[in-house]
Amino acid sequence: MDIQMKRGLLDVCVLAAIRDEDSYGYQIVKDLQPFVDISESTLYPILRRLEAAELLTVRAVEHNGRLRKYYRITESGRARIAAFADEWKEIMAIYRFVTGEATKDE
Amino acid sequence: MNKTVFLDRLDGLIRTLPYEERRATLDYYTEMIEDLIEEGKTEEEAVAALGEAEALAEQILKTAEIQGTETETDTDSKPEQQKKNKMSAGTIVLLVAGSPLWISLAVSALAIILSLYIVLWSLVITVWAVELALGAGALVTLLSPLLLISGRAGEMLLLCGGGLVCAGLAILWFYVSKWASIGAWKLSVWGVRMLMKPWRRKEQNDE
Repeated sequence: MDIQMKRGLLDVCVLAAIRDEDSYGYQIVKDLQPFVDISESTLYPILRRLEAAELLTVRAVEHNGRLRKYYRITESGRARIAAFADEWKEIMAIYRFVTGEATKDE
Repeated sequence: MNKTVFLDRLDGLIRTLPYEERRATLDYYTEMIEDLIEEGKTEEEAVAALGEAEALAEQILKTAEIQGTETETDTDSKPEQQKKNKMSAGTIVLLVAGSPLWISLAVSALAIILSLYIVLWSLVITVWAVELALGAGALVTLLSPLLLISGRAGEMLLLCGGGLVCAGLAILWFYVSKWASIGAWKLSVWGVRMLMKPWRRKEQNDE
């Protein structure tokens, strides 16, 4: 898959993982692994990027005597997910057109 | 590898990052290892899941750079520059300490080279001296009949003959002298170039 596209997809995937409830690093990795190729180390730069873009916020919560970072989606984050969905509606239409056209020629 | 060793290693490798970032990164990976352990993995397995510390550090630094974080890449070049400067400082100390030795060696080397040049050009001068002698001899012996007028024909013929021989030799020897001079000059230039070689090569490397 195109690397830029992959990066964009991973960003929204992570946002989607925290859309309904706050989550933490490892949990996000587990949630996403069935869908995308992501690991503990590839997640980190994404989280940092999303935080820098203010699409999510971070807070520390105590867990078993240590601090765990929880990530919460922001309004901008939700807007990003919505924008992604719209974009893909468009792509899906093009996809149907392209593949539809191909079967026409056969 | 255990957790502390891994994290310390990672910390060392991302030294160039600003404190905040380093702290955040280490916290993240500490937490990740802890979570993996909680999941049921052993400390070894948890650390292994993150891969090589070097590879991880490389990725961390690269993303920090892409995001335009102040990875203090100035300090990246600083250590190198410092290394360069440090080497120069060390070299300078060595130079000063060893100066009695290398200065006298250098002077002797220069003296030898200089004497070689002197010898070379003395040879050239000698060749020209011969030329001059032949030329003068030719002139004198050819002109002397006019000056001396000794009257003895045999003597006059001898002088004429001798003079002509000298003149001929002088003409031939002129070409030898010319050839010798040009050869010596070319040799000198070549010699100087060879001496300057180490300096010119260094300049090319610096470029």
